[in-house]
Amino acid sequence: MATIQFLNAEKSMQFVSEYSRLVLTDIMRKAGVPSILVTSTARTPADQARIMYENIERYGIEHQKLLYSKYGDQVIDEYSKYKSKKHHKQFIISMMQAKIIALDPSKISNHVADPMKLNVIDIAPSSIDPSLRRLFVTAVLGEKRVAKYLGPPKDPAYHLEIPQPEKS
Amino acid sequence: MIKKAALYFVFVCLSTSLAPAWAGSGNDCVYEHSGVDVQKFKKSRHVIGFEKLERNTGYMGALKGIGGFHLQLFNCVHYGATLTVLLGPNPNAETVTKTFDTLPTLLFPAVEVAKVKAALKEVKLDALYNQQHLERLAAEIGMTDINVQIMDANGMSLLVFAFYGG
Repeated sequence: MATIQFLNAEKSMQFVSEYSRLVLTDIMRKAGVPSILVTSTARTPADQARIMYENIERYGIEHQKLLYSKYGDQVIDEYSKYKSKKHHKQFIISMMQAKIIALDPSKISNHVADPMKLNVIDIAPSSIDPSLRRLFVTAVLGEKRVAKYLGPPKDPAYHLEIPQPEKS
Repeated sequence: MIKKAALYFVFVCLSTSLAPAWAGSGNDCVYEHSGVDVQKFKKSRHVIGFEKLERNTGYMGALKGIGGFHLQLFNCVHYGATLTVLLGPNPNAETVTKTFDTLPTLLFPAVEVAKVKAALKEVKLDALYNQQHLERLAAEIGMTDINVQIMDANGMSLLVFAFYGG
């Protein structure tokens, strides 16, 4: 039996559709992996704007600009612009959200997606027995329903993007 | 010299077992930096020896009074790092506590060091042989996941501390 566990289940479970669960369990069965831990799923542009706002407040503009590519930097510039004019938090987050949408959310974070169209799922490599990880990756790469895959060593998680079937 | 070769061997074995093949995404990276200040890490009084393995992503060296380490940085789809510390064949509680006291200063901006130290102090040492996800800390400091685990590799105990955001 293939078990899919979730970190922050309350928040993240809703963003993994039945279709995606079926894709994941098919992959797990092929690889002989009994259990996986999902560490992150999709978020809305509003969530992304709020996270970026809070991280800028926490770490400062310079630190966050170092982190992001040129697209993320433009969202941070929105923060600077409206913060300097002493606008309130919600307004600044709204302006950052608008910028994210205008730029194309996928350029700001691979996790910003419409879950009805695309499920974005991170899986903790540590939740899979080391001897099965290669088989798991082979099964992911051989799965046509997975549109995009990234994983170690370039990325800390197995990052899967699963387009959702159109509802008739 | 022998110690260094053994350390390298352990880390290479570990990275091979932990890091299967990956499919690249081209140049569409969202992040350009891991969030870890490598110069601060390198110059820390806790670090003796610091070597680059891969350009801007992989480093190895030793932590004073603890053991060798491997630092892997991430800066594309996500940002963050995995620090693997070689604790030796039979690590005692003192070594683990010392490691927990050192890691936050090396990896996090000053503003978050106290929070990370406090969260690590709450981790029960006997639970570390299973991966521990520090969910509350991750939420508090804007990360997706922060986890820690002690694992065995070729008869050596390794402490793996990882965090990522994005």
